Amino acid sequence: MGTDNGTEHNRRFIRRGMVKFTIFMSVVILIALFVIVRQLLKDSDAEKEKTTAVTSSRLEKVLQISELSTYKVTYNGVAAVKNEDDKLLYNVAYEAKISVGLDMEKIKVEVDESEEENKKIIVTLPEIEIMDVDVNPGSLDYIFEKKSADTDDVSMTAFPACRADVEEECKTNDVLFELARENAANTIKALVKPLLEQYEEYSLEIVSEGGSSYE
Amino acid sequence: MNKTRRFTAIFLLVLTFSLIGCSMKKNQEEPEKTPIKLETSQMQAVCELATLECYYHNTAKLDSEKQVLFWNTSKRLWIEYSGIVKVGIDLSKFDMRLDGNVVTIAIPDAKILGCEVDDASLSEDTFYSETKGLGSGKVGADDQTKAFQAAQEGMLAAVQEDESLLLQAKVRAQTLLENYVKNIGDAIGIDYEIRWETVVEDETAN
Repeated sequence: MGTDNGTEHNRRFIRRGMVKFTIFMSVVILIALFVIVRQLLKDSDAEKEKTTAVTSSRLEKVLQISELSTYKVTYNGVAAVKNEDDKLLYNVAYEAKISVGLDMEKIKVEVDESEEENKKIIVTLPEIEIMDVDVNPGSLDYIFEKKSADTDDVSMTAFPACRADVEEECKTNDVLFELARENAANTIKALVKPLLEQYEEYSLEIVSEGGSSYE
Repeated sequence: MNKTRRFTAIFLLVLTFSLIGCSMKKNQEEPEKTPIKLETSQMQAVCELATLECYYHNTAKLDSEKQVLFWNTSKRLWIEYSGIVKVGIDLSKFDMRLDGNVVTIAIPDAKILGCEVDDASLSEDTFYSETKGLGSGKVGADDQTKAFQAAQEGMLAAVQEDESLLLQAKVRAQTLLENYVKNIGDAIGIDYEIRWETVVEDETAN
């Protein structure tokens, strides 16, 4: 009787041991399989993806403009895009080219002949402003705070954010506008001075809309 | 039996950790990227007269195919939007000679001065995407960057080949400069006659 109980006890012990062993081995095999599959997927991603792009462009309309750009800035920045609750969705790095200058058709030319010996050609330049903000779409690089923000139309919010970011940076850059103003004045001088060379009684004066002189 | 089980368990544990270790080492073996110092801005004096602003309707279609383990997967992205190209002349190459009342002005041929994406043309309805197959991944930001880059390059190539558009931009520049010179002439009482020449740009200089 005692021997039978002992044998039965041993059998149960062995069975429990085998169950534990089987569970343990299953876990180990699953981990090994997971690592192998993950590595295989990674190799697939790196080596076997083929991408083709087909594009088409159709001219829709042409507008006549007269923008004289006198300074250009290439700017690399990072814009933050947040949701309605002001929580950060992602940051996007970009490259943009900003052109600063004036509208050539707004340049006014007047003559002041009040003094016979000191006649003046007065050229009034319009206000210097940002002419163009070109965000390079191929330069956009994203870091997502929320992975769910990486959608198939995320660039719809990225472009305006980048544009707003660079415009904000430029607005506070007084040096840029001052340099653009000076270069605009130099350009106008180059356009006018050859015409006045044979008319010594005339001098050239370049002024801003506010009346301040560029000399 | 116990010894055999123990040996098998230890062997499989060692094998598993070796595989994990190899995987980590492979990641570490990827060449270290040298951090590039970003130039936040680069300012440059220019003298460019943009005379035409051209709006293009662009379509970009991006197709990606990938084999995952033993099956094929694909993802597609279509985007349609408006691209804007500004065309004009580089006025820094301008030259003017005066002979009596005859003014000879030399300007270069027109070229592309800038191009951008018209943000206002983008909406949820202008993006189309599709994925097929397990493990294809989703269409995301990187795909859009590639699609836009390809579309912008295509648009620039179309403008470059449109000689009539470039000529139109040059003619407009001539009109603007002619008006400007005639305004100066009117101010000093001279009726200038304008003649035009073309500056040949040295492409190697850029």
